[in-house]
Amino acid sequence: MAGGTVKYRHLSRDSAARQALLRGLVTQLVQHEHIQTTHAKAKEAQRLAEKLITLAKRNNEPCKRSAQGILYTPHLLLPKLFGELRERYLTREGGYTRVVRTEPRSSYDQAETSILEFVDGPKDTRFMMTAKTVARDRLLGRDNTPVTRTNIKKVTQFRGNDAFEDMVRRFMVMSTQDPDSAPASKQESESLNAESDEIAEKESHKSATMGPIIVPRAHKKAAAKTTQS
Amino acid sequence: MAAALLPRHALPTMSSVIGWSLFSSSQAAPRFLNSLAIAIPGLSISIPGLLQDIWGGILKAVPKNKTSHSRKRHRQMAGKALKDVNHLCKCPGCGAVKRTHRLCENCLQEMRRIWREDYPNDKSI
Repeated sequence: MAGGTVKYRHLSRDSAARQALLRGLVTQLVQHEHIQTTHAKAKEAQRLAEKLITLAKRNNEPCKRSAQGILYTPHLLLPKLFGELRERYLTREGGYTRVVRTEPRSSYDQAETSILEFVDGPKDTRFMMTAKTVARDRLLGRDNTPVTRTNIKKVTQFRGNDAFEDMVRRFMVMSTQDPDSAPASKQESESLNAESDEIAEKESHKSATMGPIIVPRAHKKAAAKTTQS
Repeated sequence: MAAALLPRHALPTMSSVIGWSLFSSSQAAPRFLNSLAIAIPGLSISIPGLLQDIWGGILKAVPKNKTSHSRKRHRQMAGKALKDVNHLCKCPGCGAVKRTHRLCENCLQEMRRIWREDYPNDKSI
């Protein structure tokens, strides 16, 4: 950046405004588990968010005070921070958040946007994408690529396999239920289509016959719809 | 100058001397120039004026035509054309073409649909 080495992005604000912005972003992140902003803001908020989780993990009186100083609505979010989030990251050594690049904003400025999210949170995009990829690979009867395999390993390392399998099944049901949700898959491989349809049918049948404990409600609904039609 | 050069006895007549010298100089110079101009009229009077005209009007570099709008835009937009997007791949989740190192838009929408189902109270999705 111009003006020599800069330790952080100034985000076109003076110190107070910048601090206020980052506090707001981090508060929203703790509340909603993921936020979509410009890439620069996401990267800066990430630093503060990681520090906040470190405070939560240390869990003593001074840490509670400084966490209270960061969050805008501490009365609502401190219990969550020192309860749920702390539990989630106790065994993880750093890297509690992730910034994923998304398509630029479609408005006039075409700003680079990113999603800032908690790793292993309920709205973890890598978890979802990996589940979707595995679901698609299973439907098309393909092996997972090495990248997908490493992703599976990363995603299930702390979270466990059950939640992941659930999500994979859910994606499979979704893609068999309405092919409109994945229009590109039709274009991509017409030769594979017949085969994939067969496998998809089998899978949806399986999920329909599966026990009520394993299959979530949404799956059952989807399966019921497919059997009716 | 005149006072310094003249001896002391000339002091009483100082004012008259100065007056004379001023008078003589103001009168003598035009007379001298006039005589020169009369001697070679073509050179002394007409050439400086003519040169001024030439340098002022014809020989200085000036644009011959107005720069048209398109020419100006071409010049100013040179090197700022849109770049080709070569970093493309197929989304492993849905098979659509997407940019590498970026989340697929279709898949993101689908994720958001799931999240909306799972957390209906959360309005940020």
